[in-house]
Amino acid sequence: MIQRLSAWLLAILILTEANAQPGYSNYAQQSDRINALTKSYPQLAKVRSLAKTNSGKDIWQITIGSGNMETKPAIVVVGGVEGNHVLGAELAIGFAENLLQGGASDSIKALLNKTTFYIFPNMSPDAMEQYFASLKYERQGNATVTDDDRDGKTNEDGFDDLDGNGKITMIRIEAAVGEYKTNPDDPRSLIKADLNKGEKGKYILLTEGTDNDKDGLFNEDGEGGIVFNKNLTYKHATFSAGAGEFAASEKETRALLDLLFEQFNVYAVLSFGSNNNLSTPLAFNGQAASQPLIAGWLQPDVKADSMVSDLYNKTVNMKDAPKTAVAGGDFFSWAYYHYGRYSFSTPGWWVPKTKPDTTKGEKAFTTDDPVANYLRWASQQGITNTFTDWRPVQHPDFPGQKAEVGGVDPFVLTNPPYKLVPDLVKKHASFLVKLASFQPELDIINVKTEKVSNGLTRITADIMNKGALASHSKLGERSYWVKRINVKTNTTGNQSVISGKKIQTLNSLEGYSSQQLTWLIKGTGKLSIEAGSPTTGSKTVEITL
Amino acid sequence: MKRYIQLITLNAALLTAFIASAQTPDQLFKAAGSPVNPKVQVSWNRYNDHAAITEICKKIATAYPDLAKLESIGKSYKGRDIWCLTVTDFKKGNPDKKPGMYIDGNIHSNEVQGAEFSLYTAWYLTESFKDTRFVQELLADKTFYIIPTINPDGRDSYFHEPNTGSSPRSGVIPVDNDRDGQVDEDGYDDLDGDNQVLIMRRRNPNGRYRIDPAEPRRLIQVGPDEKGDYELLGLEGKDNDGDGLVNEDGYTFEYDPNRDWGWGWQPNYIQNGAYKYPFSIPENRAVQEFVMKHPNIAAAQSYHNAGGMILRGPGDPNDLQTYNPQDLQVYDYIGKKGEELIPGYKYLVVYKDLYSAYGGELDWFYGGRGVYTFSNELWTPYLFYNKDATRDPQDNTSFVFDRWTLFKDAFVDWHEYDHPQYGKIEIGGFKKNFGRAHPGFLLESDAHRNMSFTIYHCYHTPKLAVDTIKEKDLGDGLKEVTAVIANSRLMPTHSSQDLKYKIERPDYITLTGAKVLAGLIVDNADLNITTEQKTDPATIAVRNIPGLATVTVRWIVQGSGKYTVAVDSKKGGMVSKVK
Repeated sequence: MIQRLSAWLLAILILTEANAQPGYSNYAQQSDRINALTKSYPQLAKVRSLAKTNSGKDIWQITIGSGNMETKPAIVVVGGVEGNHVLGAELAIGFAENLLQGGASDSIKALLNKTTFYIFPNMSPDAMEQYFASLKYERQGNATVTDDDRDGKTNEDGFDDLDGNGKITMIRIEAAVGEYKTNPDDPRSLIKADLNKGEKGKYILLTEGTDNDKDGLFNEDGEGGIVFNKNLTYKHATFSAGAGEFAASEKETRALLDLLFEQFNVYAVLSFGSNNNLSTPLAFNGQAASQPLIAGWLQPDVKADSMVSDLYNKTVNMKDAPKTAVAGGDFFSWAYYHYGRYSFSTPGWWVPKTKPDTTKGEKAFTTDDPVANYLRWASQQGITNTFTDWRPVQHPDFPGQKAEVGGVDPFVLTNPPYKLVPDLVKKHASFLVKLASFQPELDIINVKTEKVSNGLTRITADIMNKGALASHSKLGERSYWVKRINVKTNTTGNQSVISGKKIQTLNSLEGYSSQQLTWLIKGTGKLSIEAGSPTTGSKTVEITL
Repeated sequence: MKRYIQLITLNAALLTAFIASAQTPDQLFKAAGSPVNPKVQVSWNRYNDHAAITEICKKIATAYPDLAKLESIGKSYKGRDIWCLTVTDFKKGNPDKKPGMYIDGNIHSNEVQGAEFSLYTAWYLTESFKDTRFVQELLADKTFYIIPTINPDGRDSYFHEPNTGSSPRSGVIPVDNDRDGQVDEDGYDDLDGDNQVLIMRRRNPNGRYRIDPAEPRRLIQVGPDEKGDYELLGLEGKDNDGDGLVNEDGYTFEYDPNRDWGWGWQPNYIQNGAYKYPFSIPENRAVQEFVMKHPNIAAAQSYHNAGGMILRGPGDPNDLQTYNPQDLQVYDYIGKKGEELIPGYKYLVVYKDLYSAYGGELDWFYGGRGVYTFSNELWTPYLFYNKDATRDPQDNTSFVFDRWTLFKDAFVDWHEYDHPQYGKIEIGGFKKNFGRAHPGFLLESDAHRNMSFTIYHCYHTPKLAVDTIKEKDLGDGLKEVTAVIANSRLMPTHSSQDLKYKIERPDYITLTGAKVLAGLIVDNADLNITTEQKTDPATIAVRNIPGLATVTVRWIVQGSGKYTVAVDSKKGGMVSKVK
C-alpha cells in the first residue's frame, strides 16, 4: 500500500511538473487543443477532420469566421508543412487560440465579419510524433511505406541510436579521406575542409547509424515515408526520396488540394516552414518569370510580397534569417504557382546571429557555421543539454577506426525553447490580423447617369478595389481556379441594354485602383449594378432611371 | 431520337436471334483468321454504350472462365463501373506475374471506337484460343489487361446527348471555364432536337461562302475578289446567358482527361485542359491505382481517334533525352511494323508530329512507369477508298463516300430554323458518328488490324529463360555454377527511363538448394571479368535483362545435389530451371 501510494504521489509530482513546464504539444495534445476551440467558441470556430493519414491520424481543419464563412474572402494558415518543424504547428494552433480569445472584442468581431480563416495546423502529424518519441530525430516522411533508395526493399536502413541517448545526432570517423575538420571557432562543431585553400579534412561525418544493408550508404532508407513538402505539384522531383512516384500521391495532400481548389474565396496562404518570403522579400527575376514553365513571381506579385514583408518585419521584428532555397514539390511554391494565390511563408523563428561576449573572452566567428552560432546563442541563453559531446563507439562499419558519436540535438536549430513560443504566437497572430486588413474589397463609386435623349440613359461607374492587395494575384489571372470579377447589370421592366455588356468579367484589379465601365440603357425604372468575386466580396448599387 | 435508337436495337436483337436459331455449326465455313462460331455473338459494325459494353464483358467472362476475368477497377465520377477484362490462360502461371499488356480506349469521350477495338481484342483472343496455336502460346506467356472505356460517363454522354463528332472531348465533371462563377451556363443547344450538334449558316449577300457547284450540300469559301451568299455561324447553339457570347461555357469542354497524368504534369494555364493535380480525375485515378498494383505491365496501348497514327512519346519535349537509342530501337521496330500491319497509319512522335503536351497518359506510362506505350489515333480518311483523302479543301471524298457508299446516312440535310439571336438560319451537316468514328462496315476490319499491331507489341514484351547452367569443379568441395539468362524478345525488362529513375526493382536471379558462398555478375564470360555481389549472394540482383540478349551470373557453391536457378522479374515474368 505504501508502495502504491508513493507511486501515486510520484505520478502526481510528474503531472505537476508537466503542468509547470509546458512544452510543444504532441498529436493527442494538438487534437485536444483544436477540438476544445469549437467547444469554447461554437459560434466562431468549426473543426473537422479533413483526412486521415495512413497511420490513422487526423488532419484537422479549423474554420474561424462568423455568419456565412464561405462567402467571405479568406486566408489559409498552414502548419506542420515540414514534420520536423514543431513550431509551425504551434504557431498555427496558437494563432487560432489567440484570435478566438479576442473574439469578443470589437476589432476581432469586425475582422471576422469580413474575413474567414481556414487553418490546417499540422500537415505532417505522422512525422511530427518523432519529436515526442523515445528515439528523437528530424523526421519529415509520413506513415506511407516507401523504398527511399529504390532498391526493391523498404525501410531496410534507418538510423541507429549508437550511444543510446534517445537522440539521433552524428558520427565522425577519423580518416585520411575525411572531408570534415573541426571548426576553429568552436571545435565541437565540424565544417567542411576547403580543398581549394589547401585545407585537409580529418573526419568522415555521417548521421548516427550503421550501414544496415551493407550497400555502402548510411541511413538512406529508414521508416517513413512521403514528405508533404515534397509531394506537391510545382517542380515535383518525381522518384526522389520522400517526393513520391508522382505529385499529390498522398491522401493528406489530395484532401488539402481538393478542398482548396474549390475554396474560391481564398486570396492569401500563409504557411509556416523553412521557406521565407516574409522576413526577406522575393526579388523580381524577369527571366524566370517569363519562362514557359514559369519559375519566378510576376512583378506585381513581387511588389505585393514586398509590402507584406514590410508589414511582417514591423510586426514580428526578427533579423538575419537564414537563406532558404525552394526545393520543389513544396507547399509555398504550390500556393503561388499552381493555386494562383498570394503565398507567404516564414520559419517563424531562427537562431539569432550572436555577438561574442568579450567579458568571457569570446571572439567574433571566422566562419558561417549555424551549429557554432547556435551553441554560442544557447550558452548565452543558459540552455544546456542540447549538445552531446563526442564519445567513442565501436562502429561495425569502421572496425579499427576511431568513431565517435556526438553533436547538436535534433530540432533545436529550427524550433526554439518552448518558453519563447507564446511571444512568437502573439507576434504572428498580430501579423495575420494586420494582413487581413490588406484584403481586397470591391466598391462601386462615381456612379453617374446622363440622359442622352428620351428614354436613353448613359451610366458610368468605377469598379474600385479599396484594399491594399489586388483582387487576385497577377498569376491568378491565368488560372481557371481563380474567379474573375463578375459585373452584372440587372435590368427591370422595359429596360434593355443598348451598349455595354449585361454580364462581363474583369481581370485583376490592383490595390487601390479602379476600372471605369459604361452602359447605354433604354427604358426607365430601377436598375442595379452588381460587382463581385469570391476574393473581394461583392457590392451592389441601385440606380433609378 | 431515343425511340429511333431503341427501334434499331430491337431490330438488331431480333435479327441476331433469327440468325442464331437459323444456322447450325455444320452449316458454317470458317473464314481465315476469324472465329467461325463464337460463343459470344457480337456485331462489330456498331457502337455500344456503357451498358452494352458491360453486357459484352460479362458474356465473355462467363463464356470463358479459364481465359477471361472481369473486375471493376473503380467508379467514374457519375458512379459507372470501369471494367477491366483480364485475358490470359489462367491455367498456366500466375496472371499477375506474366508480362502484361495494358489496353484502354475512349479516354476522350468522343473517341469511342477504342472501346470496340479493345473489346474486339478480348473477344478475338478468347474465341480464337481453341483453334489458334499462336494465341494459346501467347496467353500462356502473357496477360492482357483490357479496359474498353476508361471514361464511361463521357462515352455515354457522347452517344445520348446532342453532340458533334468532336464533342465532348472532356469528361463530365463541371468546370466554370469562363470563370464567371457560373458553371456550364452556355453550351451547345440542339435547336432542332435531332440529338446532333450541327452547323449553323445564314443567307447573307455579303457572306464569304457559297454552295459548292460539285456538291450542293457543301459550302466553299469564295475567292478574294468574289461575293458569296452565305455566312457560317458556328456550331448549333445560342447565347443562353445573355453575355453576348454563344456556346462559351458548356459541358463539352470542361477539361482534358489526357492532361491529368503524373509525369511532367503542368497546371491549366500552362497546359490547357489540366485539372487539379495528377490523377485528380477519378477515372484516371482508378487506372493509376490499377497500374501501380500490376507492375508486370510491360507494354501499353491507348486507343484514340482520329488520323491514322501510331504515336509514341515524348509528348513533352523536355523528355527527349530520356528516349535513348536502345529504347528508340524498340519503339521504331514495333512502330514501323505497325505501319505495315495497319494500312493508312503512320508511326509518329507526339511532341514533334502532333503537338507538345504535358501530363498525357502515354507520357506517364513511359515516363512514370517505364512502360513502352503507343497511342493509336484510329480512323483515317484513307480507309474511304484505300487512297489518301486529305484535308485539301477541294477534296470531296467524305461527301462522295456518304453519297455513294453510305447512301446519305451520315449527313443531315440543311433545313431552316428560326434562331432567337440570328433570325432565319439553316442547320445541317455531318452527323456526329461520321468523320472521326468508323463507318460500320469498316469497324471490324480496322479493329482486327489494330489488334494485330497490339498483339505484336505484346509479343515483344520480354520472354525470359534460364538458357544454360554450366558447372566447374573448383576442388575442396567447391563448385562454380554459371547460369545464362536469355531474353528472346525485343523489349528489355527495364526500359532506359526505368533504369534512369530506378522505377522498378532489379531482376532477381536466385540459386536455391545448395549452399551459396559467393555470387557474381559475369560481365565477360570469355575474359572472366566479374563483379561480386557481397551481400545476399544467393539472390543476384541484375539491373536489366536486355532484349534479344543474355545476362550471365555465377555462384560459388558448396556440396552436391539438385538445385534450382530461378529468375524473378517484375516485367519479364518468372522462370526457373532445375539442375
